[in-house]
Amino acid sequence: MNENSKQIVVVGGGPGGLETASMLARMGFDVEIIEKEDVIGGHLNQYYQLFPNFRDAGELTQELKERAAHPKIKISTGESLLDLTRNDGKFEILTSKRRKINPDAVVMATGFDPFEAERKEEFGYGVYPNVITSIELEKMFREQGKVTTVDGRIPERVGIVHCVGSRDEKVGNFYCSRICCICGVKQAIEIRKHHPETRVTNFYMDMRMSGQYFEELYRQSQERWGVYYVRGRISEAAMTVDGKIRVKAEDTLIAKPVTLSVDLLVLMVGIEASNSTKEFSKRLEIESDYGFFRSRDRHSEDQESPVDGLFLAGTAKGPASIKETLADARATAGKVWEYFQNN
Amino acid sequence: MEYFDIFVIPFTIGVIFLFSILIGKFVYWFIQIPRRDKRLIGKNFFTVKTLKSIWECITECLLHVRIFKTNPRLGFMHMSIAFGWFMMILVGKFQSTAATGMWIEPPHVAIFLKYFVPTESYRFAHLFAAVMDFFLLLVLTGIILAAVKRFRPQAAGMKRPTKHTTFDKVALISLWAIFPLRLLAESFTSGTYDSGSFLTGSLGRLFELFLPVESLYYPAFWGYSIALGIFFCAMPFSRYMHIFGEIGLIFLRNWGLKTENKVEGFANFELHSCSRCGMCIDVCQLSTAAKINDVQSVYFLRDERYNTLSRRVANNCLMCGRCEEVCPVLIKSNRHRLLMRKSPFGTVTPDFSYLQRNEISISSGDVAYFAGCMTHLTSSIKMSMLRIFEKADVHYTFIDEEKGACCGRPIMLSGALNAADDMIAFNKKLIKESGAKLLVTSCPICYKFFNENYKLDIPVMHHTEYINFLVKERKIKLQKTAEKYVYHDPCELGRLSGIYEQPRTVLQKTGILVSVPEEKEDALCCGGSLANTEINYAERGNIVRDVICTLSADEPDCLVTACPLCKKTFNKERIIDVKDIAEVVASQM
Repeated sequence: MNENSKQIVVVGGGPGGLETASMLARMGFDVEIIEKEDVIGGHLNQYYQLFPNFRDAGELTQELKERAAHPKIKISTGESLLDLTRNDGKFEILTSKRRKINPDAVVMATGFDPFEAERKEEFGYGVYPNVITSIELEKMFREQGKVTTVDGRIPERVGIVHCVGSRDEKVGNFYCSRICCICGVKQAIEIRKHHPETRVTNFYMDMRMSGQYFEELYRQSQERWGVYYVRGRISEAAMTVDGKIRVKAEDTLIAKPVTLSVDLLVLMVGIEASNSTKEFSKRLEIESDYGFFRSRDRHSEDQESPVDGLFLAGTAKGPASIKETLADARATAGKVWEYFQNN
Repeated sequence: MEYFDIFVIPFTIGVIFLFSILIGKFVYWFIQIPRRDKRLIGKNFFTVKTLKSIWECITECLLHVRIFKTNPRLGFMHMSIAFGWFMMILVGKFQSTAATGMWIEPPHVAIFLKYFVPTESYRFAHLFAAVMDFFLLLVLTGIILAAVKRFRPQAAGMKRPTKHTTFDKVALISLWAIFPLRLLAESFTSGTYDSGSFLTGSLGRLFELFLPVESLYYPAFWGYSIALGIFFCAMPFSRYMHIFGEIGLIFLRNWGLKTENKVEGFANFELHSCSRCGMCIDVCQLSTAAKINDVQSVYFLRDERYNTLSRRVANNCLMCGRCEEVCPVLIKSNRHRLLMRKSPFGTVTPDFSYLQRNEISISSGDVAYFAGCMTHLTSSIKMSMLRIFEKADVHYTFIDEEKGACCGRPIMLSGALNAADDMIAFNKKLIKESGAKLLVTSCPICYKFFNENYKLDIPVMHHTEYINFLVKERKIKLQKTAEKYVYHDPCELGRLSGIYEQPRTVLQKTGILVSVPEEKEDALCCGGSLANTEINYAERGNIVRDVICTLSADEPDCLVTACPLCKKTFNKERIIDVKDIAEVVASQM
C-alpha cells in the first residue's frame, strides 16, 4: 500500500476531527479538514478549564492546533459540506464553495450542539437575563475571569440546574448527556474558587460520576468547597421584583417542595446531535436514535460506519467527554489505516 | 283465522321480544333519572320544547340532516334506510286498512299484506302498490350503499368503517337480508297473481319467465319473516338500539337533561343512541396522526355499554372534543369518558388539606390575575401579561405569584373527580381576599374550570377576552405590522368554551391574520392535552408535528395561540415560531 496516494477528508475541525487528522497525517495520508466555522477547535474554543483536573482549555486547543499544523494536512475553514455520495469506491463531496473533492475515505467528526435552553421555557432562558447556560458560564470565566449577573454584580447565590435537555421525556431526549454532572461539579468549584462568598446550589436527579477522578471531585466539592446539592428537578423559575430568580423544586430526599432565590441560574445544557450530524446521518441512512450516527458495531467496530470507507469520530456518535473524544479519534485513525491495508 | 299463516310466527316472536325488552329498558332507565331531573321534565313537558323534539326526531331519526350536512353520501344512506323503512310501515298500515277494512289488526297483516291480499282489489290499490314499491326501492338503495361502505368505506366518503361486535354482525346480516327477501317474496307473488307495481310487478313478470314463482313465493315469505324475527331479537343488544334510543335522547335532552355524575338514566339513553356510524373516527387525531384506531368515542361508548371497557381505552383520549363536534346524535362522550376513568390514585385519596395551612397574605386589586401552572412554565406569557397590566394602568393582584395552587382541572381530567376540592377552596379564598371585581386567567384550562366549577361571584375572563376589552376601551393601543399569523384555537378555549372572535379581533389589529380550514369548531388539538395519560411520546410527537404542518401550510411568520400548553407543545418541535397572543400584544403596544 502506498499511503501517499490515498486522500482522506475529515469533516469537522473540533477536537475529534483535529486529532483524527493529526494521527492520519503522521501515518502518511493526505488529509483535508473541512470546518464550517472560520476557526478550528470547535466548542473547545469556548471552554475555560477542563474537568477533572482544571487544565486550561486554551492550552489544549493550542496543542491540538499545533499538532494539526502538519504539511500533509490541509485545513479549509468557513466551508461546509453540501453533498456527500459514494460511487464505485470513491466518495464525491460538494462543498459550500462549490468545490468537488473525491477522497478515498471520509471521517465524519461533525460533533454535537448544546441543547437549546429556550426549549425549556419553564427555566426562563431567553426570558430572564440572569438565566444562562453552562457554555455561557465557561465564556464568562474565560473572557472576564469572574462571574457576574447581567448588571455586573458578583452573585451572592448561584443555582446550577442539571439535566437540562437530557433524561427529559418532555423534550424527547431520554438519554443521559454524560458530561453535565461533572461539568456542574467543576463549575461549582470554579465559582467558589473565584468568589468564596458566593453560595452555589446544584439541583440534580442523580450525580453520575462515572469517569476517573469524578467521584473524588464531587466529594471534594462538598467537603472542601462547600457546594450544596439538592436532589430534585426544578419545576420552574420566575423573576422576583429585585431581579433575582426564584426557583421551585422538590427536595426528594426529604419529600418537600423547596424554593430558593438565586442571583444567577446556570443551566447544564445537554448534548444533542449537531445540525450537520443530523443532516448527514439521515441522508446517508446511517442514523441512530436522536440523529446521531450509527456505527457498525458498538463494541468491535465503533469507528466504522455501515458505509464502506466512511468513518466516525467523537460526539457525532453520541455524548462523550473531550478525553473520550480524543481517544476515539485516535482509534478512528487506526481503523482508517486498517481499511487501506485491505483496500 | 283470516289473515294468518304459520310463517308469521318468527316475525311475531321477534316483535314481542323486541318491544318487551325495549319497554323494560326504557322504564328502568326512566326510573333511574334523579328526582330533580324528573321535575325538570314535568316543567318542560307542555312547552314548545316537546314540539321541537318531535321535529328533531323527524329531521334526525328519519332524515339524518346532520350527517347529510357533513357527509352527503353517508347522510343519503342513513336517510334512505330510515325514512324509507318508516314510510313503508306508515303507508303499509294505511294500505292494509284499505285492503282489509280493519283499523286494528295484528302487525303481521300489514307487513305481509302482499301474501294475504296478493292482488290490487281494494281502493287506491295501484297507488298504494306504487308508493310501497318506491319506498322499497329507496331502502334497497340504502342497503346497497351500506354494503358498499362496509367493503369500500371511501365510496361513502369515509376513511375507515367501524369494527363490529357479534350482535352487530347478526343484526347487520339479517337487516341486509330483510329487504331483498321482501322484494323476492312480493315479486314472486306478483308474478303468480299477475299483480304488483313498477318494481315488484315488473320483476315478477320477469321471474315468471324462467322460475316456478307459484311455488317460490311461500318459502320467500318464510325467509322474510325469519330475517325480520332475527333482526328484532338481535336489535336491542346491537347498535341498532339507537333507532329507539335516539328518540328518547332527543326528548330528554330538549327538556334540559344531561349526564352528570353517574352513568344512569339519561346517560343510558346516550349510550344506547350511538349508531356507531364512525364519524368520530375520521376526525380523531389519534387515528389520523398517531394510527391509534381502537379508542375513539364509538369504541369507547360501545365498550362502556357492554361493560368491557379497559383502562387504556378510557384514558387514551385527548378530550379535545372534535368527536362531539361531528357526532350526529350529539352524544357528550367526554363526560362519559371522565366518569369511566378510574381515579389514578386507586383507593388512596389524595390529600391537599395542607393548602389550608398555607399562610399567604394577598394585596388587593381591581383585577385578580391567575396565571396558572402552565403559564408559570412559559414565563414569557406571564411577563407579557404583567407588562400589559402595567401599560393599561390596571390595579391588579397576582393570585398565584408565589405559593399558588393548581386550579384543579388536570387532576379532575385524570378521573379523580373530587380531588380538586381542596385546591378550589384555597384559590377561592385568595380570590375573595383580593377584593377583585374580575378574574383574568392566562390558561384556558384554568379558565374553563374557574367558570364551571368554582361558582365565583365575579366574572372570569381569559386573557384573550381581557386584552380585547382593553383594546376596545382604548386602554392599550396596538401597532399593526406586516407579520403574517395563523391562529390556533386551543380546545379548552375554543370548542369547550366558545371563544373564537376575541383573539381574532385583536390579532387583526397587530398583523395579517390568515384563516385556515382547521379553525374554530374544526380546530385541531395541539397534541399536548393533559387529559391523555396513555399515549406515548412518539405518538404524541406525531400528532404535534402533523398539527404544525397542517397549520403552517400557508407559511405564516408566526403561529399564534392563546394557551400556554399549546405553546409549549408546539415550541418543543422548533418547526415554526410560536407565540401566545399576550406576547404578540405586549411587543406591539
